[in-house]
Amino acid sequence: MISAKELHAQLMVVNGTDASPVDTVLLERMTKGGLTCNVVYGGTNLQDTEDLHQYIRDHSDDLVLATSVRQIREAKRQGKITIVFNWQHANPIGPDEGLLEVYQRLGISICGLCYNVRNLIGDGCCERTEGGLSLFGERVVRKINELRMVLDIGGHTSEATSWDALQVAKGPVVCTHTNCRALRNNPRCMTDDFMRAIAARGGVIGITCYGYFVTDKPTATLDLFLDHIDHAVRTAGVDHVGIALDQIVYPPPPPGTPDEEVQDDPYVTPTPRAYPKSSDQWYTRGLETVGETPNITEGLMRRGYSPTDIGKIMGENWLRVYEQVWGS
Amino acid sequence: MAETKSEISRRAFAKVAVGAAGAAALTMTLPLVAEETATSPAIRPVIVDAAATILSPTASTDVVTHALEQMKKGGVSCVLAAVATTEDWPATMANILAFTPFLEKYGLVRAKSASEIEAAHANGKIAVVYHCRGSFMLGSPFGIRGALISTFDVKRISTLHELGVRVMQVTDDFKGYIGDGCTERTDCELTDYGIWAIKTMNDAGILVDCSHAGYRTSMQTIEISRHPVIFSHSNAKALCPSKRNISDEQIRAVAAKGGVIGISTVGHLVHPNKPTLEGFLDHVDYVAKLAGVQHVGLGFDYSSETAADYDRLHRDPATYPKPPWTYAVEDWSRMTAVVDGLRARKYDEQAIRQILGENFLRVYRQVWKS
Repeated sequence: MISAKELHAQLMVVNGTDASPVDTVLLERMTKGGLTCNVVYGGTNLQDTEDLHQYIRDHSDDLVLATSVRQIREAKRQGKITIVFNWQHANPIGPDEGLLEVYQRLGISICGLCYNVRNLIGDGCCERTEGGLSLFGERVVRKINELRMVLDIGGHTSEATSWDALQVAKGPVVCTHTNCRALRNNPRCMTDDFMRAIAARGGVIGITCYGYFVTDKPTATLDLFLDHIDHAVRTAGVDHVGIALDQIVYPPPPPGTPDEEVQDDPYVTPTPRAYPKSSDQWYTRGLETVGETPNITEGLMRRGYSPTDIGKIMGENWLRVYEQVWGS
Repeated sequence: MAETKSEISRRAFAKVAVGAAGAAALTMTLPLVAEETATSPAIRPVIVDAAATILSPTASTDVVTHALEQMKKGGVSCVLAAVATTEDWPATMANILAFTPFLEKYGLVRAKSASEIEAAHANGKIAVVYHCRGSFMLGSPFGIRGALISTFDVKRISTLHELGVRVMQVTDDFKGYIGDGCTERTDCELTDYGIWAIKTMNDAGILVDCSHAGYRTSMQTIEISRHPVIFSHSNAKALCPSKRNISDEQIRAVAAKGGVIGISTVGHLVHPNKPTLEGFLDHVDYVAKLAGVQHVGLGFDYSSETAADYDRLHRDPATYPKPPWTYAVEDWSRMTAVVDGLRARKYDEQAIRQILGENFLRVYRQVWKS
């Protein structure tokens, strides 16, 4: 009977999205966490893009940039970690879908649409309106398909916009990072209907451990996170769920530190708050960073998942979708 | 400029004539241009055209000179010139900066207040008001974790005001960060950010313009704005069913708020097949009768849009024919025909002056506070 630690070491461990800065701290955590591949925020301007490419080049003993599944599997054989670039939204292209191809050549291979609020494409999940996809948004979705980038919908993009995008898009789509609305009533969490729709297209839904999307209780635990995995598997099927830890900064600022990003801003009419006021609620205990990823494998084993199914959830599902969309 | 004795006495006579005979003296002629009648600016009406993209630093000297000749012949006192439409912030800044030498080259005056428009008129000059024909340049309130990221630049609206922008469209034809345009696939209300933007424009003293906006965006904008709102260049949908035109409900709503609707001469907004001067006047008539003569003005919207512009702007072919466009009033020099047409429809002199410019001046003075 294989141990969780042994199983984890054998698996292709793919983190469906991570908003962490790419630096030595992240590199240490990815190594500790036994990550095969981490999907990180690609540059949204030329300078950031250059910096990311430079960092990967400077650490070419440990890291490689990937735009194909073949590269991801090859890097695993070489003992390196692959970095895949995604955009959680398409704001950087402004009104010009032609820029998608330019940024694809710079490494972006997964692309989302809206981030919490409205942009030229549609509404984000925290917007006061439930507006659908714009005409420009239709062009963006078609362009993402044409370029064979993975389309990321749901999550930060409102479901109204996402349903429209689903109609326009061809092939499998993903939601890189969300949680289950059935377990946690938060606009960032996905409804069962939409999970089933993504699954019907052969796609994958990434489950995050952002504390406030896991639970409204003061402390999010590994078990509560695993409940989300369970629910997603029951709703969408074990072939359609992945992990997407989407960590940002750890450790959190000391208690009492005013967080300027979380302050109520005076500029906007208050909408139901999707995000916590306290940075304590950014995290799940036991999954504070990608370094703790092995806890998921162990937890799934404890819950009776087979090694094959654990392998799917921990990364093979992501790789399947990536390969279908990107080609081999 | 020095006046001759005969000019002064003629002016004095005209004043006396007005005083003595009241409206009767004025119904004989409504002098538009100083050269034709040597009449004082006090009698010449202030004529405001609330929309023109043809006056631009990028236009050729020929085009601009020709346009200004027509404006002088037509007695136009003031025109709203587009400083940006779909440009981003840096391009908008460059455009605004380019307007300074442009205005100087052609002897035009930038007006930032109703008084400045009146002063330009009194001095025989044409006043130009800076008009943003869209709000894309304000940027996106990129939302991190439910709050506006602290690096978002909240000062752009007040910066535009400092640089002289006094009128701003909330959208172009499509979806923006603030609201939806009139040829968009969706008809959304304002965003949270859009609500803030309208209030900030109110605070800054920028007149909010709903031309090109979609139905829900325009109705909500009118509702939440503290100040009157305008449609700088939109016609009556009831007479010409274009997505760019506005419904009776929109007309009534903007009028109830004290705003003004500028009637456009653009052919496809006047009539689906055959735009004429009478067709243009039909729109003026319609809005005046529906909302009141104090809520209608001129927004001719002469433009030099090219086929390349048309493609770049992704114009909705069901709404916009390919350019060059025809105009129901061929150019500004035809202003006397507009005035004669209004007179024939029994508008009195006061009403004609309101339509020609006093209505817009009233709203400008109220919103710009000078």
